[in-house]
Amino acid sequence: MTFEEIYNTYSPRVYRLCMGYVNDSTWAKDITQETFISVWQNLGKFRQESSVGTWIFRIASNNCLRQLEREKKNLKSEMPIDIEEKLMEDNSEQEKLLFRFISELEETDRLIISLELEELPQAQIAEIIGISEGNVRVKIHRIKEKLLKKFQEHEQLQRHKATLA
Amino acid sequence: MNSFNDIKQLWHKQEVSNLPDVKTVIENAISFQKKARFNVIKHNVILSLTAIYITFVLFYYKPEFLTTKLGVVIMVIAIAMAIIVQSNMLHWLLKSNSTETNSHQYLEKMIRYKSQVNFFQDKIMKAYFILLSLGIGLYMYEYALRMQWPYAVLVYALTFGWIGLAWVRFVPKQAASINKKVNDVINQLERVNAQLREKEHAQ
Repeated sequence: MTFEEIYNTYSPRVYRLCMGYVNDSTWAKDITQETFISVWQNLGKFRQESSVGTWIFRIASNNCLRQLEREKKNLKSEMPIDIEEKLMEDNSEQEKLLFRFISELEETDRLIISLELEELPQAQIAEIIGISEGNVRVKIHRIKEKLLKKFQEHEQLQRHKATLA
Repeated sequence: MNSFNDIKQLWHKQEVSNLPDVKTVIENAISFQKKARFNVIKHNVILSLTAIYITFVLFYYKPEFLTTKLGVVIMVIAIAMAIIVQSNMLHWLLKSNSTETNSHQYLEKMIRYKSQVNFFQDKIMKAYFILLSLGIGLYMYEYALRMQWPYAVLVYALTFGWIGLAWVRFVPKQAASINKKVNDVINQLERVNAQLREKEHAQ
């Protein structure tokens, strides 16, 4: 696979993973770019012990975790409601909510669920994150429940607001 | 939102546009590599120039005493150490690679690396001050001998008074601010790493 093919195949997927982690499109684009700079620099050294996809997602996940080094930046989950509502006008509210709910999870859970949503096999997620497959399964189950609960609570609140109005 | 499949559909509905094209990414990668190479060259040039300058001082002024020569050499070592710390060369020397490890190992490597940086920064700053004071003290000896003793005492008192003030006031302040920054990052990394460890034990 050439670098160009790799980039065209994986860059949208890596971007979504980064968005799941930081919930900020500019920031996610930066991490995506950093990831592919690493890929470009290390492609010759890639030992093919794992698939190219696992390797790329591993670099992307590590680059996301490296953001802990940066000065604490406000995630969009911490934004005041009025700013958030303005942001929702131009894009699907549900989509924005999904990324907000993911950004409220613990850091490693954000990565795990984003990889699951990208439809990576659980064995591959375990390899990327460095925990057992059993642990990945348990975690994914819990995160799915958490996300669904957040959506349901939000829908209930919206219904409640509608009845009051 | 009734099932996880709805969430999955929503995830894939997300528009991914405005990502840079592959040409731009390659160009950025090349310029990034050039910049890294330039940084290494820049550090080597600074260190070489410092060494050349000191050799020049030794040959041009031809000091008679061994203490003066020794003082200059010790000061060079102190300056070289300061350059290493200030120019983030430690970063480059100890840098961890994100491509060969899983996230769990990567976090642990980052914690180890940050602790090393913290340790070196602390020790090198202390060594810098001790060596610089020693170097200046030895260097001044030859010239102080040529002065009348009250002047010699005054020059030594002023020099070491200034170094002492820096040692007591400025150095601890700077060290505390650097340590705080690095420790904050270490705490964050440890907190995230614990998310993986705790749940592993819970299995």
